[in-house]
Amino acid sequence: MTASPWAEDPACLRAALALYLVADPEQSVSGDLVADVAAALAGGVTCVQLRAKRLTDLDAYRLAIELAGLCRQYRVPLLVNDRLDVALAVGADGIHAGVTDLPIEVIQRLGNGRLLIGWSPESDGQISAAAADGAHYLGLGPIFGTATKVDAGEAIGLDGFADRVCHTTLPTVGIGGITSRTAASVVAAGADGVAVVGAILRSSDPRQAAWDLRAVVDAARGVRAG
Amino acid sequence: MSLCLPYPTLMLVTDRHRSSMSLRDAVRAAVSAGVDLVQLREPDLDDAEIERIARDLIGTIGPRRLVLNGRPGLAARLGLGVHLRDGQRNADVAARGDDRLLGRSIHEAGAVVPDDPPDYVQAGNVFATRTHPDRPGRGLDWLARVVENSPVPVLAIGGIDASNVAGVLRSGCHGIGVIDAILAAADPTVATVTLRQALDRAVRDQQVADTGNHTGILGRGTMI
Repeated sequence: MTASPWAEDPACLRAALALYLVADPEQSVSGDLVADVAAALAGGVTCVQLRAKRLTDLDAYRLAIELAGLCRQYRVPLLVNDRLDVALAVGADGIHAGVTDLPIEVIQRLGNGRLLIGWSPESDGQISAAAADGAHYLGLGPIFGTATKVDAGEAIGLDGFADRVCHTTLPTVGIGGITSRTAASVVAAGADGVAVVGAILRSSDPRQAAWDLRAVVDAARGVRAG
Repeated sequence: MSLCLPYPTLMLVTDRHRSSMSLRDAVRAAVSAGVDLVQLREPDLDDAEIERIARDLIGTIGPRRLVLNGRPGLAARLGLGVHLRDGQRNADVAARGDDRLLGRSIHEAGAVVPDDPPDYVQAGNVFATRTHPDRPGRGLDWLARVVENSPVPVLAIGGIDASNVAGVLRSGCHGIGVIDAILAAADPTVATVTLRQALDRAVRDQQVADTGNHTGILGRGTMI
């Protein structure tokens, strides 16, 4: 296994962060997370994170295998939230960790330096130190109030987000209650992309929801197709 | 009357920096293994060098399968088709109406000019690709929309390989363009055969799905 291209090339990573789906089985209104992710990928999602906090190891592993197959076809990175064993077991591209998860250097070591590592820091000091610690990108939020993560903390707002982005040179995604109406403002505040859960998984049409978000993010990023 | 591209078309877009063998050998191998169309795209070379390579390739694979990226003047002089870059207009191609292939890249779903359409459009990047690392893949719904809005055949490009070509073909596109899937492979011949088979199988499966006819094998179409 070679290193993830997204871990090696910052331009490639910034592109992949444009529309980042946090795939949480608890948030899928259809009850079929694999179908939701397939639809969202067709619609234009550029990165997928499996966030399966409460599944058994076996269920998380099986789900991750299916998502890895989909993501590989779309050439989209698959990250696993927190569960390094699951990520390694299915050959996922990376891990997304928080401050109570394994330290970044431990993740790097266990992943033989090949994993893409996203991190959710909770203080300015942690944001500043993240690049030296080995993180590849940061998830910052919650920007708006969110209904999909109960332990998400106080909303930091667009200004709070813009302040935090100033403390890092790493690529960033904004997260927390982002919709197609607010995605452009998050990019304007300095994000490389937006991470969403409910905006896609709680939509009646995840494919259309992804399409609409992607159009907004691309326009805000000034990315043309090509 | 525009030229006819075989369905499904497998186009190789060149980048000699990706190839471990000489461009000539790689292109020859790819064409003998099933590539229909070769787009010579070496933007860092000057016209004289492109002419030398093009003449060499004409001697190897003939003029009908070769298209120059940009350089409409040189293409006209050599009797080759041309793939226009952004900002180049169809009218820049001298003697339009002769039997040289004219293609262009498009970046927005409805962007083909209907009153003077090229023979094909190249749409991408569909998936993430090393050629444009800063541009996220547009995805299959975007490709389907391009196809829907295009009056001419669409060749999809960007991160396509044997593993994802079936989904690409389901968008209704006419074929695919690849760089790395052939040139960066350890063996371009094997890579081309694998890709060709996957492409033809995708078309066959689609036809079976469309008609329920399990005996119909779709031919390769008219050679250009």
